[in-house]
Amino acid sequence: MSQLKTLPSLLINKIAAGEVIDRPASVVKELIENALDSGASQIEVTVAEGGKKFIRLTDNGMGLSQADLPLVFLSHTTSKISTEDDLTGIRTFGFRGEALASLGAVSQARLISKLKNQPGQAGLPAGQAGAPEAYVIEMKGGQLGPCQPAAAPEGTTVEINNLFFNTPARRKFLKSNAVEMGHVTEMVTRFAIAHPNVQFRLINNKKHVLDLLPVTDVKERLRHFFGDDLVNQLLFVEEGDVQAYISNPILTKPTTRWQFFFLNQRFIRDRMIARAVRQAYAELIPNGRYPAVFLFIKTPPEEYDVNVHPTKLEVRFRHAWQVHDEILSLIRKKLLASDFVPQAPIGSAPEIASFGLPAGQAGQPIGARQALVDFFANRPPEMFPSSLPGGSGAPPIQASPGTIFTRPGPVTQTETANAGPDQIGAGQSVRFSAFQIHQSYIISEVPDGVLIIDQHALHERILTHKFKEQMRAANVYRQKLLVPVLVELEPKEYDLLSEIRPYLEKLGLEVAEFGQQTISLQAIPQILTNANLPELIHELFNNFSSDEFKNRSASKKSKSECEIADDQVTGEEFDPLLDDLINLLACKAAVKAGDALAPEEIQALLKQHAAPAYTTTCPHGRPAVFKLTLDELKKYFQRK
Amino acid sequence: MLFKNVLGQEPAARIFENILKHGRLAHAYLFAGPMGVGKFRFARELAKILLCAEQKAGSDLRPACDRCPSCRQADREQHPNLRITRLAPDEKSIKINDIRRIEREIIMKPIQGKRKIFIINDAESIVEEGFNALLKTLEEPPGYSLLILVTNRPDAILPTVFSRCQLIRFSPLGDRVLRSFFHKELKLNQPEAEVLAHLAQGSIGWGCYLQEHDFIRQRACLLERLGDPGGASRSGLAEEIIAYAQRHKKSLEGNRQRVIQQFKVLALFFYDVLLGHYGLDQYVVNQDQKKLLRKIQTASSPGDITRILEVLMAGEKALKLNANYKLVVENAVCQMNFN
Amino acid sequence: MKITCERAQLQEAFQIINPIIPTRSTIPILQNIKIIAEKQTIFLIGTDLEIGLRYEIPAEVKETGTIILPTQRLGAILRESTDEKINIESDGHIARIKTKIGYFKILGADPVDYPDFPEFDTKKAFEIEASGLKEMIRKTIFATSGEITRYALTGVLLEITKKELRMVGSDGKRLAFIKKKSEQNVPQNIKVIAPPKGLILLERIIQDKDKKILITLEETQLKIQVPAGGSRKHPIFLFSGLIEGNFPDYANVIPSDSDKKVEIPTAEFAAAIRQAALVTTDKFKATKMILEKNTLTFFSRTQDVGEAQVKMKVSYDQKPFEIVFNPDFLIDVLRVIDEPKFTLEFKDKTSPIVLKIGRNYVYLIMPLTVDV
Repeated sequence: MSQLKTLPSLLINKIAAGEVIDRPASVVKELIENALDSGASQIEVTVAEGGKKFIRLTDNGMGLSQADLPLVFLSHTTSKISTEDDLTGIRTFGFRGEALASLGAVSQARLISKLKNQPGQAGLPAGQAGAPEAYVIEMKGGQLGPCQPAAAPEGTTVEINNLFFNTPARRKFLKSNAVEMGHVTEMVTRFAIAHPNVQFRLINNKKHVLDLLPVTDVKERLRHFFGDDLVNQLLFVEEGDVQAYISNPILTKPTTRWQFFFLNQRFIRDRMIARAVRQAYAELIPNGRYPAVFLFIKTPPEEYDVNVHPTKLEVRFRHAWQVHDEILSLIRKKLLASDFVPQAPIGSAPEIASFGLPAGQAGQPIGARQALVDFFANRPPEMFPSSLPGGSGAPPIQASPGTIFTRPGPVTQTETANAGPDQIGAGQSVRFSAFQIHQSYIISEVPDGVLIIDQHALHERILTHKFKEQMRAANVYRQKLLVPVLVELEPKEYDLLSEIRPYLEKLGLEVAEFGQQTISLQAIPQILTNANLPELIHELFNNFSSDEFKNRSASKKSKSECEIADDQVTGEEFDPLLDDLINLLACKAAVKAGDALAPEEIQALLKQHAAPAYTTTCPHGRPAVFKLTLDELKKYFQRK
Repeated sequence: MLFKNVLGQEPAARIFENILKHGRLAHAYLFAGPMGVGKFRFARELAKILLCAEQKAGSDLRPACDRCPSCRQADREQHPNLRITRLAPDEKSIKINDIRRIEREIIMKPIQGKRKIFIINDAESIVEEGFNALLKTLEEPPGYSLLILVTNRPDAILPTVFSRCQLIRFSPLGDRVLRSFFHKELKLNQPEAEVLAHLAQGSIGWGCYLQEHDFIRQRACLLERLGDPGGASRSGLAEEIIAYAQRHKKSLEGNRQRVIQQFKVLALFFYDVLLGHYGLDQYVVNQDQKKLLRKIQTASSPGDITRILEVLMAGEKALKLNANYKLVVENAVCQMNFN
Repeated sequence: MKITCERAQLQEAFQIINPIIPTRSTIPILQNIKIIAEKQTIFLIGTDLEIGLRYEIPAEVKETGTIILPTQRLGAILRESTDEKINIESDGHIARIKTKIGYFKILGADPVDYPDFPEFDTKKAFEIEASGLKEMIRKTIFATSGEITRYALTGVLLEITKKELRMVGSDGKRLAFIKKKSEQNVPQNIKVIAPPKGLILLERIIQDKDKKILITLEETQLKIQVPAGGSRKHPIFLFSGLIEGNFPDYANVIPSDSDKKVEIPTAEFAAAIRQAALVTTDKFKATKMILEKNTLTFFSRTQDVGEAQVKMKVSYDQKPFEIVFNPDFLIDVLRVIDEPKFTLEFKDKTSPIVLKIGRNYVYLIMPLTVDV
């Protein structure tokens, strides 16, 4: 019986039509998927001119029978599914019959196959007795040739010549050989990581690009592709159906290209997963840097739908948040349980200039945890002593151990340089000139280069920091209002009022109910003096009720379970909800991009910038400061 | 006929006639409907009627006189009490500053006349902060103010803003309105106007857009290719379609849209061939292509034509599902054979 | 239209009107200046719809008429010319301008598109002393809010009642109230909220030589005439649009139950608070004022910056008392106080600080509170 069936039309309609073949790499993808489906353990891909001229894939899979061959190139033919029920249980890769048909339509394709000698076929009727023969079939621009006997080893070989030869418009669309080859290599890499037990070989213009022997441990494959430096920094985590190699936070990458997610050995892109990873590393690595993560998920096919996009790169999980939460907690737990000893910066990781710290000290992604610990261990002195000793001078500021005044290392240096307004001249970064450009950035000269500051981001961070300090000291100033501000709430918001109220009060927003679904603000935190209050209130409620928020509060719960040790150190519960609200408040209170600043305002901002480091306390901010060193300038102008 | 300067849109006109007659004008409306059906014009006309200097206090509103300084200022969008905000040509969104300006202006009492009218066209492109800022204004609109948000994507309006506006729906225009407009205003001949009316999907804006982008000329090219003798014309037709699709817009979506439009031209033509087969010449739209129609009719069977129409429809469907448009075009054109 | 006028006078008019005229507007015609020629006078008109100004200068009018001309262009011609006299003739919407050496043809706009300009009715006007009005503006406008969400607070409340003009400025955290008597009685009481723009312009226009100012408050506009007199040869007419909204009831928020009072020498007090504020920073401005027997102490402390303590002698023998507030609010008002002394009044930590300056000026500040 023929293994291939023509899909019923109903099913065809269910499969979204698509752009299956758009470049050589996608040809390679379809062919490798087919090869893996046929049970191959060795796959060899040979290409010429980046695959534009020639692609050949040879596998040692089960092969196709003579009867199957003509069907191969027919649209919507596949051996893999035939009814709708099958669609929801897709375990194989290339369930779309279109692939080979499309290929046959846009190239000169040739397929040679020899059926594997299977025990079940030993007793075939006469005429087919003896060793099964190989057959070859060709298709040129959609014209199917006859199926003829040929000589070949067991398995299937597909050759694609002159891709898009009959569609010049699309041929033009292809990029240079090198670019297309890059895509092909990337594609083979993905499969090779997902299938460490399969031998892969990639040959381009007769040169061996990849030659990968089967291995039992995927780490060996990773080592091959990414080198010892990276692989030695990987931590392994496993729980249930998820396995992952994740990078030590010390090692970060400038983009997410070092993140590979596989679902049932299929390479996928998924925002939820990416987000879970990002959140797991939040606060542990600097903004704008990304961890390396290789994530392998196994889950029954019923749990997701790959039929979202023809390229099958995206999937839709039935329980997306659950997947997100599992991955987040898995990685987060591991990261927080590990003790990272600061190590020398790796390679040429670019330095991140921040907050007046001397170069080199700021850029290290160390001590994020330490900073959190510091943060909660410190109690700043009370803003005002409860009473002043009459007549005597002001009491000295208590520099008791554990206050921020005795923070070790570079912080102290900066601190002393800016101890008081009379010493401003001594704070070097202030002495130099500064100006604003595009009403959004401040350019400031510093001894060893130039700082480019995002005025909003910097101000936001400073405010966040100061506001938190005030909160810890229970010292939040509330500006009493002459006339209360009334805010009308949505019914949904009104329902949340009792829940959110404690938070509002902690933030310094004095709220009273005022008739139907309206609240009146009696006092506001001083930093909000010029903010749009009703808008802010709506946003606070909005944040509070958002999924992300609920999620965070859920993660807070799981955190308190897995991080008891951590909490014991800090002695105070870190409340991500409150943290989020503070960030929102600071964001609203800060100067915006587009606000013209007076010279005094610029100076004030810079002065505060030079004060103690806030680098690690604002976990969700974008980078605020970009530093161009004199060395870099010299290099650029070739003076060095 | 209060809204004498508005094409079609009778239901909306009736609604407002009623509202104005009973003096029940709300402070905020959302005009929602497909693009290019006259939503914005309607809003401007409404403003013009309300601001017209010829209106007599105490009596029913009359159509805008179109002559008084107020009407002239409104037509030129220079009226002090009619403030219009729209998406700037090179912008992707209506910025928070634009909304803040409206907020500032709306609280200033009108200097001449009794009303101050604000129209925000392309309201779907207001940034989220902007919507939030509008909320405040919508919560306590000054008595003299009228705010009209105009959009073709009501789903993109922040729900809290949406719920504070009265929704007025605008529907696609009828073929007759379109045909006469294209004939009179765009100076197209009758068959061309009719073809464009068929393609315009009830939208004058869309029809004008197609026309501005040489669509009628493109139709002629396509039909000419279709009439080419010999097999060479087939790839020629495909290239023609793809070339037009690529000519104007860089976005993939734009390219697909253009292919769909051309498929529609072809489908309309083949449908006429089919009508010819059944002797129903009086319904033929492509009246200016009688020769070609006859030629293809004699060369084909009704079965051929139905198959081609199916191919074109399947192609359109595939394109709407984001299929690769080049493949679709090549595939469709290959199957466009008869005899 | 056909006129001849003195270039210097025309240029002076331009300098006053120019700042009003928007450089960019959704209504492009507003970027023009309107010139009306009548009898022996020409009127120059500019508006941005929020405020508008009409300036008169004498001219030799051979033919009356109206023309709308681009402000920038005309201004540039006036600036560059050195002639004593200048000739303007109109031909439809085109202006021909002749100077000694130059001849310009400038395209204008259709007067029909230009918004109507209101008229000033002297009969309904309320009369007030020019210097007094100027003072009132100066003493209230700084207290208004820049926050447009409580839009009523962005303006100044003007109220005419019982032979008095009252003005109030507030940003919701502090409030300044001032009143002035007028000899003239006004039949009806009226309250309006005027945006600061027009008032600031008015304050700039009023000169020492001006004696009286005429004001009319209407539903939708505030109209002001600076009449001719003294060296001012022609009146200036200014109108300002009004803000819709409810202004807080100032009479209710000015407390009458403050039981602690202390007399303050203005200059010394201003110096002390400024010193105490030195260590406060943006957005975290807080100073504590401590009143003990015959001593007033300011104390500020800011994390990462430092602290300040400043003392001064006062005569006070009531219960010791302390209150925290934003020092800027005090510094602002001290800049406009002309009197050498004023009275400070308090009730408790959460009630407003009241400054009574003379009999007609009251200023109050809401305190900052901290939960312990």
